[in-house]
Amino acid sequence: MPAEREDFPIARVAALARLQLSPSEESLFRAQLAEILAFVDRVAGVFEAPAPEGTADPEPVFERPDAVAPSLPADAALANAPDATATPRLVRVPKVIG
Amino acid sequence: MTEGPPGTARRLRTAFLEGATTAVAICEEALARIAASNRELGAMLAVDEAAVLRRAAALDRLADRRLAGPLAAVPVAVKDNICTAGLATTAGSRALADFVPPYNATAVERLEQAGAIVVGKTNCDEFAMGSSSEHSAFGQVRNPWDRSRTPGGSSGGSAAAVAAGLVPVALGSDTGGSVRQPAALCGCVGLRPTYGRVSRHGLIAFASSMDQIGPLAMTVRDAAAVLHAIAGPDALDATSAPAPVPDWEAALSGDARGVRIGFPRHLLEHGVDAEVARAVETAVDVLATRGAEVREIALAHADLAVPVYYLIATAEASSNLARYDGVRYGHRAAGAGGLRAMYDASRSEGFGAEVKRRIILGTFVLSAGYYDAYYLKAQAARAQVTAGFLSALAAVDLIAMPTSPTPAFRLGERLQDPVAMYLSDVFTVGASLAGLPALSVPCGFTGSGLPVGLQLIGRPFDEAAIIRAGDAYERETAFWRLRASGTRRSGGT
Repeated sequence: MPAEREDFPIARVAALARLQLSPSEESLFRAQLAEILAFVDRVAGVFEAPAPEGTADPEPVFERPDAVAPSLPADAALANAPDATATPRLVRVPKVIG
Repeated sequence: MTEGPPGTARRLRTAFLEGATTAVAICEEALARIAASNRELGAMLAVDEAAVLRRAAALDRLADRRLAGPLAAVPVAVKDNICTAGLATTAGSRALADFVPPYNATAVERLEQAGAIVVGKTNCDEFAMGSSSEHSAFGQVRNPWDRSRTPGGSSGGSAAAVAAGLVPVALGSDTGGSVRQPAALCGCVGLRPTYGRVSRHGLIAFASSMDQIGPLAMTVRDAAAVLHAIAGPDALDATSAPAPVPDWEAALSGDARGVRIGFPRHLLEHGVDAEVARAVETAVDVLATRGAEVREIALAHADLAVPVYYLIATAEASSNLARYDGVRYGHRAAGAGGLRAMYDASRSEGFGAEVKRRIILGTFVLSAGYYDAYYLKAQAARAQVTAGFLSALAAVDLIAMPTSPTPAFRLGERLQDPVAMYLSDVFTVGASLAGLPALSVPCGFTGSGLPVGLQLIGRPFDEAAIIRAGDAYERETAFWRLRASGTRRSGGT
């Protein structure tokens, strides 16, 4: 069932979306998203049956040969990395374990 | 506000080919106009003057200028969510503030192959999410016709740059109307191609089932020339279609004889500014005088289009923007303790309010317990909206309606009211959901001098019909000749 206007679970959904909200953002978005949901609820009300997830006549898929092609040089690929090592040429990421 | 009336792309190319001017002179004029106007308009972001002039000089050195291509020496501005090699591409977001792409989008690559010169990037709503160009991390864009109003969005920088005469043509991207609506609000032409007509390779993704790159221009003919340059299949985008690319410019007849136009007048009855409705009705009458056969039609399920769009687009956005986590893409927050905290802090610092709002809505509609009620039903409703359009287009060649329900609104007017902002797209999201081509053509002004746009929506891969009708309408009217400064553009098309 669609959420009630006052019930938008802002904290839970923000956590799922990997967003930290300030208290003022949380308050503002809770109210605005309740209004937006009330607006989009007409979709939930119009169609009783959920849509099939596939169709009998799917869009054609245009495929290309699985061919080896040149890739970006390492320097170009690393130019936008937030952190990189000089030797070897690698992207440096935060420590995950230990 | 500018040093002199710029030419259309067609006129500039002709002058270049005839030796009446040089590519360097054309680009110097464009750069001077940008320098003179951009502080006030906020339309342009990165501009690499030295690179622009180097490329122009290379064109001038050609022994035979005819080899320079169909857009030879034409300055073009590119929306900042379209990758340009070596030129910062931020998508209007702090998350990508430092991003300099190592490659060109296919559309940019093809423009350059056609001889065009990319003079710079245009400001836009962050990740193309917005209808007013106020949601950019790098400042708002102002409407050249009235600086207190928005240019529309999200391609507001591209529309303002064309309307103010900084460049004759620009690229935008249209997910729910982001080329057409700003074109209408700024008094220029905006063309959304059929989904699949133009490669999305190098376009920073927002809602992948609807995103399309399209041109903004002074004239329909120029828009057709740019579309011809960028259209066609691309091995780098599996959704680009292997449909033949017609020469739309060559097929322009100057009239609309035999074109059957469906006019859903019932859509004008609620929520449409009276002056907009009157201008569009008059425009449809003009098309009839140019030979079109106009008949009133009913467009089924049109009222569902906005809610369906905002459910599907936000769902796709929440998925597409998951990559901006400070590792795979985008800004990385400093000093966060641990990986998950760094993800959260990077995203929260990188994204602005509208992007966060849409990511949260999209995450919600895809989450357990709500997926069936919202996302699946929106997909079913999308099929209904699409069927409504295709059913109508079985009996007519194109559908005419306003591009926007109102003229340009005041800056800040809808910022705190997302639903009101989303309703700005009420006439544009339908073609987006259905994957149809659609064109916005200037069709008059309100009493206070704000532009109004006529939208023409065609069948899949039949851009020819809307381009021909739009060109015929443009030839019969003088709106395109009026510049934001109130003076007339010189010369013909």
